[in-house]
Amino acid sequence: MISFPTSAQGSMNLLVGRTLVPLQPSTGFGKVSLLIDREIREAVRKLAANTPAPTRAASLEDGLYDALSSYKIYTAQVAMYLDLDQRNKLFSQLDSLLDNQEWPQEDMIPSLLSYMTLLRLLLAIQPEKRPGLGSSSDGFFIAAWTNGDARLTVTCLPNDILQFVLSRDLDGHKERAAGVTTLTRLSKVLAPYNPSTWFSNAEQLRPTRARTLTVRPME
Amino acid sequence: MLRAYRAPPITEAVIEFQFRQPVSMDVVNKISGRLAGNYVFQDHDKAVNFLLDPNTETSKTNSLWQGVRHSSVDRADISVIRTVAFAASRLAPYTTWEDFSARVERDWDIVRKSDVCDDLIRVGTRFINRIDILDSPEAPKGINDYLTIFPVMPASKFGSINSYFLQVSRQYGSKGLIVILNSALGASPLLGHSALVLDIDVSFAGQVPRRKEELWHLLGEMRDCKNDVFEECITDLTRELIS
Repeated sequence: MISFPTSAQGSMNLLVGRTLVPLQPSTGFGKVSLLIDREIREAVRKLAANTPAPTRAASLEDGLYDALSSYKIYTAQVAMYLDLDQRNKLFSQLDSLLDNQEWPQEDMIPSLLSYMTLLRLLLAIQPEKRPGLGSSSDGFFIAAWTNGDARLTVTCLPNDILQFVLSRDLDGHKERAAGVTTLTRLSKVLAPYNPSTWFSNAEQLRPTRARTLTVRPME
Repeated sequence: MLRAYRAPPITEAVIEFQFRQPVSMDVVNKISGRLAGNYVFQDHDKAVNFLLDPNTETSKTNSLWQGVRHSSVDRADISVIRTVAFAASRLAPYTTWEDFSARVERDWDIVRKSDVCDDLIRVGTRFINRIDILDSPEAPKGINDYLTIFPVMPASKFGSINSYFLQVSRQYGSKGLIVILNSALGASPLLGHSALVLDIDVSFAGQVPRRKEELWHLLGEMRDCKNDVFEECITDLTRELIS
């Protein structure tokens, strides 16, 4: 029997003093090794996914409790980049949003993958104005900024995919736009609409490139 | 050398005491009841088990209760009592050793009231660090620009490293401390960043003292060891990133 103690972060991090081995059995090994390999991979996948998709939990209360817990635990991954006030306000918004007494019974609970996108969005744009937080009935986080008549609503889908709807007055005309983009493209997509209207400091948005670390010879 | 950093890269800090003999579920539940006063949330702590049958090539998965996990309202302070061990964990943001060890001491005072729990076979600490590196043409790209522990390969025709995992286990000093050091290329949760993981596990498996003062003195030595290893394993560029 193989046992995987779970940890605070839904992984095996809480293990102390264990030796990790790469999960790469030789093809020359017997079928038992391959079976073990398959089962380990599946177990690790389930552990890593945590809450893989929007869920209608058997008990709504349990579902909200588990979801809120997973959001806060994941936030710890980036907590060193949030000041205490930012973190407290974010948690307060989450507590309020996922209030068991207020949650519509028929709505899906947002997935952790949607929350990961939301958090990466907030860290990428570092908005001076905090967004209002909401969720769609199909289980995705929504961040919304309003400045007078100018509105921007961003729905956070898994894997850094963003759906946005915006409206604002430009040159005396009301302009509306909607689309689907990625987090890395958001700055370019919003640029014609002067996003500082919503974020105040949106010029900090920057596109990123893939990059690979290398080892240089020691000097 | 002890340095304080503006943004410590610690994603999780753990102190764990392993009992010489497993304790009963009743003992775990009694201790958990006392620990509950210090925390907001309580959850079952479960292990995922799977039984493999090589003859039919089938498996059966189930979860096994092994203790109770207690968490603070922000889920960053965690205390777990299991039949085989007591562990306390602090997720980021990590503040100071003094804060962390004071909480562990408070909880340990509850756990050790049960006689069966103060006979320890092993004490361990683990600090998982993640160093986030901005992807920019200006940033140095060598792993050895950030860490002093990294894989060494012949230059020849190898291209850049796509992934690596490196583990070293060594004795540290002359007091019986064992350090298990893991270094790896990891994914950063930040947009446009890469990450290097430096995971430092310090343990003592000799004659673990029963007296609390001696046990805490040992933990202090393990903390000094952890700090030394961390400082030896990072470069000035990494210090700049986290200062």
